[in-house]
Amino acid sequence: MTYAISAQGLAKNFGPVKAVKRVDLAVRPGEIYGFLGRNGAGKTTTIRMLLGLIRPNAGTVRLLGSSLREDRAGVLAKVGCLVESAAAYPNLTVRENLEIQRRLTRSPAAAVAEVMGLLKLEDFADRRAGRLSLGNKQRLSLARALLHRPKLLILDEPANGLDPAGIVEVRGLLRRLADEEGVTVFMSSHLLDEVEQLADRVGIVHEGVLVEEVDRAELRRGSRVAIEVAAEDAAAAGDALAAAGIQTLGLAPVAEDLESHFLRKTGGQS
Amino acid sequence: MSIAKLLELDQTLHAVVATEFLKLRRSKVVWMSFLIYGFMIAMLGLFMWIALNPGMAESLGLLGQKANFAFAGESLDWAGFLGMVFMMASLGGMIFLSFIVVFIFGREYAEGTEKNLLVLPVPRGLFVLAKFVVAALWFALLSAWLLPLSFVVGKTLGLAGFDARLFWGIGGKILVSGLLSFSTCSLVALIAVATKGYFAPLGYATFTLVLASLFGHTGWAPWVPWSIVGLYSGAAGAGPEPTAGSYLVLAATFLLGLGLTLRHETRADNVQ
Repeated sequence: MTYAISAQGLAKNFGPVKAVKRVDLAVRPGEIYGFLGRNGAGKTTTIRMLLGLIRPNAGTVRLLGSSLREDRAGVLAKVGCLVESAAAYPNLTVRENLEIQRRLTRSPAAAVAEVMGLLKLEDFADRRAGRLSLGNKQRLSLARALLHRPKLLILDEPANGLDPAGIVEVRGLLRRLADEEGVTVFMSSHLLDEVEQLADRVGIVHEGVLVEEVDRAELRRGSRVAIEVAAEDAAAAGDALAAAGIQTLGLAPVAEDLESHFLRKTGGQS
Repeated sequence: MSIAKLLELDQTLHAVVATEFLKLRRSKVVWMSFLIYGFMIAMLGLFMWIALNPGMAESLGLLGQKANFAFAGESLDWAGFLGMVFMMASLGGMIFLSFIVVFIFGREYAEGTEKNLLVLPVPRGLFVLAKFVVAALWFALLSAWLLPLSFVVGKTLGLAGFDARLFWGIGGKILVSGLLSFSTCSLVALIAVATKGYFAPLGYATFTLVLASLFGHTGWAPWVPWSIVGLYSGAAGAGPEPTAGSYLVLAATFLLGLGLTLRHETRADNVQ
């Protein structure tokens, strides 16, 4: 299989700081891959290495089957991205900012209006980017990433700054792109709930090492399971369970959620 | 490289240059630069007017003294006025061009947009070349702007001795000094991209003025890039003329700065 993202043995040091020690990724075409990690775990550094913004000290990267070294322009023409914070030229309008992206990716003239519609930016089309709210700046950055209809989206915290309705919209948009157009989405996020709802597969990076890759279904099957007992008399529940003689009103297995799983894997409280 | 590849690269460069111009739209810095140049010519005109009216100069105290100092030894006619315009365009231009280059290169870091550029399917070197093209055209327009301004101010003052050949001759000299200044600005671009912002390259540009002044009166002046502009304009006073070697030094300075800037943009990590 040709993976949308294939990275092997990625490592990056900044002086004495080992930002990424070893990350191996195999992201399948058309899937949504959630990349989780605490602050400083190496998520953004990994994304920068994937995009060729920084050079790894070790390891190789292939996007959509090709290496940036072999065909940088060809590969990047098929990749859309949002790296760390949303950024735009503040003196230019939303439309003009997108026009720059359009010209440099040689996209058709209609692409700007189309992507503004997708991200609900039409009402702000002629507003300067410097006067946009944080949420709309994020929408503009997402629009920039989507404008040239990429096959692979690499998004660093795509929900940053969006209000709850915006998060739901973007979630729907990414799901649709993956399901209907086969776009692969690789997204990092600190919003565990967001990743849990959207990602088909989750990779957990901790202290520069990818400690686990897990399918959403696998997560539900394979993680620790607790038994939640509902009883009329909570004080007597312990005794009753010990004696196994009390009538229970409900007994249901509760799967560990992603948050608990993540915290257990990365050494936090669960 | 095949012809088709070269043509494609040329088309891409055109697109990048067009977007670099688009980035300047509604930018206050652009209008400010033209206003400042206009203000400088207006001040020269004011000083000339004061120098032409000594009684007025006396009543104005310090300003009058400054005006007399500015035009000391200069004839109070078109030749003297245009000579001052040329000197201002040469020395002021060198520092002003540095500001332009710092703005064009540094803003991508200040506004956080550099990372957006570097992940586009465009050879990174083209962004560097396009920014130099924009800086050159901006500075050329700014320099050209001096001519109609000077004409209007000189005519308003009623200066004697207007000569079209003198006027266009000064225009030509401003163009040449602009080219000489442009040769030194690639190092400013390098410092802007290497330090990712405005402050260090602005500090460097100011430091080069100190260097220009320091070496301007020594035998080294024809070999120090920043002093050569001063020698050409005559701002360094009576001293050596720039030699053929001086122009080679300037060309080498530009190529060194350009090469290092290209290398930085294509190879250095971007952790913005």
